[in-house]
Amino acid sequence: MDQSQVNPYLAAFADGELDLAQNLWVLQRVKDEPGAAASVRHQQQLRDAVARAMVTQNGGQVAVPQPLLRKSGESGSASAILAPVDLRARIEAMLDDKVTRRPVPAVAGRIRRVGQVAAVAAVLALGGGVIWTVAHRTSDTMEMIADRSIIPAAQVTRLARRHVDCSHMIQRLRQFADAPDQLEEMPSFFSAYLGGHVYGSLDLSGVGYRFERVGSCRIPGERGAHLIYRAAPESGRDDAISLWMAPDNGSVSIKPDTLYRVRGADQPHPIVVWRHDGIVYYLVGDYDPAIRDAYALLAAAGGHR
Amino acid sequence: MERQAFRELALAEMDAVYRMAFHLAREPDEAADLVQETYLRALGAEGGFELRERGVRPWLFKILHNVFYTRMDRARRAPAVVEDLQATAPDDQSDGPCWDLASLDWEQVDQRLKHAIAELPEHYRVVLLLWAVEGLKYREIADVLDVALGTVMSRLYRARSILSTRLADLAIESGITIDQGRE
Repeated sequence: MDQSQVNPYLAAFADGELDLAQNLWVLQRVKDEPGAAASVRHQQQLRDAVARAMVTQNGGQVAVPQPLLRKSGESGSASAILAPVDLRARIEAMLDDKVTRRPVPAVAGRIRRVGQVAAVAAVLALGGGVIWTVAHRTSDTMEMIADRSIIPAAQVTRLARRHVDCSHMIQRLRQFADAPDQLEEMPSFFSAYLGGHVYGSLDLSGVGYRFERVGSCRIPGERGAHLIYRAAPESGRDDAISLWMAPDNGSVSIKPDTLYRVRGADQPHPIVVWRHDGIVYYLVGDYDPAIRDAYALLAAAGGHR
Repeated sequence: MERQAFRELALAEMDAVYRMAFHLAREPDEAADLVQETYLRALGAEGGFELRERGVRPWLFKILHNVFYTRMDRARRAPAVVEDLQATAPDDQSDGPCWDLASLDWEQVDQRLKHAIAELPEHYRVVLLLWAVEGLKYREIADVLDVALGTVMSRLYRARSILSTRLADLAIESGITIDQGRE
């Protein structure tokens, strides 16, 4: 075995990664070759140097990394790379939600979540429907095509997850530096930003949802806007709707002005998508009728000119 | 494992997961996204997790690694050929020089190392970070990256050799005599 093949074992010895037989072999080399001991020490020092350089963000104050702390018992300084506070809060909220929420069947769970549906369901039941048709109410004027292939599955998942994350923790949205504060001014702003003609009104209060916040989002593509709406308190619900808008650059191959369902009404967060006047829209909600109503309201507003 | 216990274990590793994500993504917002996606997937796979001696950190790193490379549209594994320590080293890869780093100015070492590490090939850098920053054992790194143990040893050694060569200039500037690598 030549030296170039030996040296990696010296490094592994310095890391404490060799078994007994290998350790004995290396120790014999260290004993026989003057430079071997120096090589082992150099590898140990290099490891320490990499650890101390990479645990800190700015390389100013040096923090002793945990592996060294365990070995040396020294205390470290406090400028290590740490998870941002807001990220930690989001993930804790996510974990708490998973820990405390009891699993329920999809349809029954949605009814329980929206609260007021019992009254609506009773009316429909009296009308001859069954409870689960609340989630499948259809509009005579709304054409919808179910096609789960028009958007990559990973993107669908990301949209649903981002909707959950941002609706639970609104601060998650990265706000635009120069977007208007007033919802009525946003169609013109986003028409310019996205390069199409956004609907004349983005107000969903007519279907019981109040605008909360808008932020930039790259899930639909390099340039996108994510608006979050929350059910008005007087509705008795606590669900949310997410509306994404992105430039229509041909990446979503669907007919214009036709609504497509990419995530079913039976899923916890149904998703619909459509194209209109240079913009691709994605609606994600906790309650399927809500996103249908939202689409109808937006489409009725017409395009911003 | 109870969900609450899993929650506590997972949360305790968040700084380490974020740190690794930061070094992979090199950008804090993207790192935050990676961490969030990692924990979402971890929650989904919680039922398959078994607490062993290694704890939850290597498992989370494995998920993070998969998330990162999926997003980057790359293969999760680097070169298809397993690197074998017994194989002849390429002509252009000499062993790094060898000298006493303790005699160097640590601030300058930190800066040079950061630059050198940032310039390392991806598959060397990831192994280096898992080993040096997160303190994973070779076998744990092999599991996270889904590569052979010999591959981890080889990549790690070569990464260190490259860094050692980069630091050699600093050593010479500082008037330190170095041994230019063992033949």
